[in-house]
Formats: sequence, structure tokens, C-alpha cells
Amino acid sequence: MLIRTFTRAILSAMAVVACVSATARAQRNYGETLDTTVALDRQATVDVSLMSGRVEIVGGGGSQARVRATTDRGDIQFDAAPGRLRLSVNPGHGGRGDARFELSVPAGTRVIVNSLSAPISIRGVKGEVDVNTVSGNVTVTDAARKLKAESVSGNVVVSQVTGDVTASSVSGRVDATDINGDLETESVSGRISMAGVRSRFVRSGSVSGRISYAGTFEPDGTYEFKSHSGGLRLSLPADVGAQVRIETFSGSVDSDFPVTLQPNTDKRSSNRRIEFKIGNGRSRIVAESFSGNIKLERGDGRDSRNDQ
Amino acid sequence: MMQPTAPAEDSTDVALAAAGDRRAFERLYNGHVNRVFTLCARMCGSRIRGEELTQDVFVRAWEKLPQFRGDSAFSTWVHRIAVNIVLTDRKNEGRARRRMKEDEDEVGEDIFAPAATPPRDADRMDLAAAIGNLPAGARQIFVLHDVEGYKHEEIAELCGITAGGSKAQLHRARLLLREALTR
Amino acid sequence: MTDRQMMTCTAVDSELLGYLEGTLAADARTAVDEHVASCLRCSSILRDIGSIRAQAAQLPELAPSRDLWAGISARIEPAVVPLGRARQDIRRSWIPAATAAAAALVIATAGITYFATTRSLRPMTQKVAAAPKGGPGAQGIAQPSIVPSKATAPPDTSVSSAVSASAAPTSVAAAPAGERSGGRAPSAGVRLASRRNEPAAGPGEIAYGDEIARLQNIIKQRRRELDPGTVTVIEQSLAIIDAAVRQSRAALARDPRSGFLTDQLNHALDKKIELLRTVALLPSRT
Repeated sequence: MLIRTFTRAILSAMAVVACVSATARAQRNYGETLDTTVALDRQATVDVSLMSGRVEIVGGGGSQARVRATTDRGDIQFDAAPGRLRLSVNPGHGGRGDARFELSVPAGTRVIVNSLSAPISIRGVKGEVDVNTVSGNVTVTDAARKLKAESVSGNVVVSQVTGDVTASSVSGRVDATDINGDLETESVSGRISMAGVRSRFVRSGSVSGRISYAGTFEPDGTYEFKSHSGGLRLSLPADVGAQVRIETFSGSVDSDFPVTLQPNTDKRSSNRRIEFKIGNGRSRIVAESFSGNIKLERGDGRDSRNDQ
Repeated sequence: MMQPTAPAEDSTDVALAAAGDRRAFERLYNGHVNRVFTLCARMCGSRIRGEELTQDVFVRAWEKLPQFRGDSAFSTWVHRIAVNIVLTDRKNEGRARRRMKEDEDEVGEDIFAPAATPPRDADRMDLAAAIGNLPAGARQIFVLHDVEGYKHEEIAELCGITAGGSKAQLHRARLLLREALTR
Repeated sequence: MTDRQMMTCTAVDSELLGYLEGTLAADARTAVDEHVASCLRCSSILRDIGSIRAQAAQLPELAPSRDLWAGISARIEPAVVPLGRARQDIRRSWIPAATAAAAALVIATAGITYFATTRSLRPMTQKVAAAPKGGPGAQGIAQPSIVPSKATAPPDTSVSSAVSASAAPTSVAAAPAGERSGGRAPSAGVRLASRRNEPAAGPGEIAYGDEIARLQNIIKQRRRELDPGTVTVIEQSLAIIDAAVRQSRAALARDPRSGFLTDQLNHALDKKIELLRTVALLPSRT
């Protein structure tokens, strides 16, 4: 079985080499510098990848993309069709895949960026964005429809998005501001801060990072916040209508809203559970921690105080 | 554009793939990916998510292939899997179902259009883009009924709603589309 | 003039659904027909909806913007990791297509049974087994807090041996938390108040461990071929992920019924595998 798998792997790898070589030929090498302008369809895809350096993408008007790229060592690789633009760097001998990419693209363009450690800044594209880095910081402003931004240790800062957002980091900070759409944020130890959120679905989780939320709580919306040892701080408008469930093993619970402690009827759990209704109780709020403290405070939906 | 394979050719590859032949399954994939992707992307209103869901569909099909009895064409069977996967997409489950049950004016995804679209008057939205703008529940039912040809009873069963609810959502979707296209 | 001719646009609006579905009674249908025949507004509504239906049925078939087979193949290929019914998230490899060619050759000649994909690598994850029943969380005793330190590196986080406390499976497959014995010492990356909080790897993690060990073997053989700056970034990132895995496992030991923490642990292990695979496919310096 192992030998057959190994042989298949060799043959498959050889087939991959043949196919990828053909693909590589289709993508031209431009040496160490590229400065060009290409026409792009509406909602074309711009696909950028590099290991280190810097990426800046700005959205604007018109139907053309301006591409400026430089690398100290290696080859810029670029190809463009009306529906798709691809930009990357071949590090060559001894190179790191280090490059500086500056692009301006038509509004509505779909942007995909992958990097190892390059910081990434994407502004004003007003289109779908999909960003993945290992250690680079990610900053996305003014995207639309769908935004996914992930990093391992970099900070992920997203703002002014009309569409669904998924933002995560392992140890970096996650900031989501002025989001109008479904929102999912996740970290292991990084702090998560959400403010100015207008959404019917929010899910946020961290193992030890603090989580703060300030946004609307729409009727029939669902808002879940879970942290193991990090604190939860939720800012609720005074006129909120919500069914609230708070559950914690050893964290403290502090609320600006009157609560009534319900007896814990779940015999399997030693957690303290508090369920209560605020106003018309139409939205659903779940706040869970193991040891993190939970605070519900009155706010205006935009307060992002989270420095305590 | 890849042409869907004929049912007779499918049956051989289905049998091989069910026995573990991955190349046969790849041939099935090649023959049906566009159709599956079209359904996923139009129903969820996003190309990126549509591509992810398409992969989920074929992985699920691979897992369930040994149970495929050949009662229907492979294309019908995988299509059904695609519909189920989109409807139970965890990011949209619950939210889309609630929207299906309610009459609300929630704005759904933004413009969604096929990749190769000829230049058109910027003021006039085409149908594909308008579909992408529908609220999620209405969009799914419109795609299933008017685009894919499912009947209300089938839609009701798939979506966990009544046939009457399906009709109402469809009607709403058509009126919203008319409004968007004649603005 | 008959009653039918008095049918208003508002009445037609309310009958429109039934009219289009063909469920109206005959006389109601006739009434609508007669109104529409002389009403510009209602006739244009019907005509527009008819046009929408016709166009909808003729919408062109779409094609994905990239080849999706590689991702599918990676998920259904059992060679590297024994797959369960896993919840899998798509991860896009950032490796440019051209460099994968050279990397694939390296992998093939290294004699590792690793199927290189052209573009997107999908981590083959197996959900960590459901948290064991009971455990310290049910004891009703306040547990000491886990405080992650800023220095995340355990003593040895070099790329060649990026093992970490998370990857090395112990011999205990699914021992309940209370029966752990011979647990490993906590690493420097996470300061624990009690050594007894270090949980054993569950059966799902052991599957991860196999994959991680294979990938680390590849990386060990390729370490000298990689750019030193890149190696540094990778090592630092692996250390962060390892700390996250340890943190998640420790938290899960305290709160074993938490599905959320199980997901967190899975995500951290996913990230580790994704990063190791990325490293395995990096281009060589020579």
C-alpha cells in the first residue's frame, strides 16, 4: 500500500511538474521591475502572492489596473486577462520572494492576497477581499460583499465593510469597525475589538484574548461571544431588545441591566448560567467564558473602549 | 466550456469511482464541475464561496458514492448534494432559513455577475447581478425554481418550508428583480 | 359593464401569485386576463415577469475562476492522513504556481509520499475527538489560570524540529483527564500554575501528529536549502502556533465540554499543518 502510494505520488508529482511548467510559461517574467497598466473587467479578480516585502492595493474609478512592482532579487511574474490579473515573485537563487507591490484597481475588483510576512494594505476596492498572511499585518478598508482576512501573528484590522466578514489571527489583534454584514472574528490570544457593527449574525471567539463588542442588536439577530480566559465586554444600546444567556465557570458577571439569576438546571455542568430578557427580547445574545469576566454595559453601539 | 458527460459514460466512471478509482472521479468532476459551481455560486451569491462550496460538494459526493444506486442520473444526484450543501452552509444556515420564513426587506449580497460579462450600460443591471442582490432566502428559491427548474414541493422539502412559502418567496423574488431591472 | 371589468390593479396584485402559479379559480383567472388586456401597468408587470422567467432559464453556465480539483483531491486522498468526516476549511496556498514545479521535484526525490498540488493546499484535518466526559471542569473547583507568556518559544522551535508540546503524541490515546500520568512538563511558552493541567493528546490529535511528523521530516531535510530570513519567520510563526495549541489544549482540559475550545484547537492544528506544508513547498536557494 505504501509502495503503491509512493509510486503514485512520484508519477503524480511528475505530472504536476509538467502541468505547472506549462502554467509557468504562461506567466511572464518581468525581471526586477514592472510598471504597467492593464484593462480589467468589472469584478475581475486580482491575485497577488509574495513571501515578504509589502503590498498596497487601492481601489478607484475607471476600468484599468495600474501595477507597480519591484524586487531586489528574483523575477516579477505577471499575467493579465480582462477577467484576471496575477502577480507574484519568483525568488530565484538566494532570494526571499521579497517584493514591493503597489496596485490601483477598479472599484468592485475581487482581491486575493497571500503572503508570508509582507504587510498588506487594501483600501477602497469596494469588492470581495481574501487575504492570508503568516506574520504580516493586514489592513483592509472599504471592501464589499465578502471579506476574509487571516493572519497567524499579524494584526488584522478591517473597517468600512458592507458584506460578510471573517477576520482571524492567532496571536495578533483583530479589529473590526463599521461592519454592515455578518461578522465572525477569532483569535487564540489576541485581543478582539468590534465597534460600529450593524449585523444580524456575530460570532466571536478567543481562548485568552479579550473580546469587546459595540454594535446594534437586530431583532432576530444572533450574537455569540466566547472566551475561555479572556474577558468579554459587550456594549448594548439602552433600547436593546434581547434574550441574554451568560454562562461562566469562575468569571465574574457585571451588568448595567437588571438580571435575575436562574437556577442552573443542567446537572452536567458546574457553570453558572444567567438568562434574562431585556426589552422585547427579540435578539439572542450568548456570552460564555470559563474564567474570563463578563461585562454588559449600556452604550451607543459605537463605543470601542477596550483598553482596560 | 466543459460539456457535461453523457449518462452512459457517467455510469462507467461512477462504478469505477465508487470502487475507489480517483481518476474516474476526476473525470466525473470535469464533466459536472461547471454545473455544480453555477448552482452554488448563484445560490449563495458569491463566486469565492461558490468555489469553496463546489469543493465541498464533490468531497461529499466522493464519500457518498458507494451509496449511489443509480436510481437517477449522476448529474441529478450530485446536483441534489449541491443544493443540500448550499442550504446547510454553516455560515448561512439559520440566517437564510429565518429569512425564508419571514417577509422582510433585508438587502442580501451585493452585485454578483458572471466573470466574462460584455461591457454594458452602467445604469442597467443585468439579471445575474440582480439575482446576486436578492435577499438570501429569496435568491435561493428563485435560483432553484426559475433557474434550475425545481418544483415548489421539492423546494419545500429541501428548504424545510411549505410549498406555499416557496411560492410566496418566489413571487417576492420576481417582483424584486423586476424592480431592480426596470429602475 | 360587468363586475369583472371593475377589477382593480390592487386586486390583480393580490391575485398575481395564484395567477402565475396557475392555482386561481377559472372565473378569477378570467377576471385577471380581462383586466390585464386593458391595463398597461398590469400587463407590463406580467410581461416583465415572463421575461425574467425566460431569461432565468437561459442564464449561462458559469465556470470557476481556478482549478478546484487540486483542493478536492487533497481532501479525498487518504495517503497522508487517515481522514474522518472532517470539518475542513479552505486554505489557499500563497505559493506561486511556477515554484511548485521545483518544489514537487524536491519532494519526489526526497522519497516522501507527499502529493504536491499545483495551487491550493487543503489541510487535511480530523476533528479532535469529542472532549472526554467529565474532567477537571466538572470538579467544581476553581482552576488556576493559564497565562500565556509573551516569549512564546519553547526551548527548541527550530524549523528542523518544530515539534512542540502539541505535535508529539503521547502513548495515551484517550485517557480521561483525571487519569493522566507521565504528562510532559509544560513548555516555557505557557506558564501553568499546575503541571497536572497538561492534557494528553486525543486520538484526533494523534492523526494530526502523524501528518505533522511527516512534514517536519521533509523540512528537516530541506532546512539548509531555504533562505535564512524565511526560516526565521517560519520558526517564529510555528512557535506562536505551538503556543496556541498548548493554550487551547490546556483550556480544553479545564473545560472539556466546550465545543468552542475543541474548534479552537482544531483551527490551531490546521494552521500548523498549513504552515508546515507551505514550508515543504518553498523553493530552494540552490
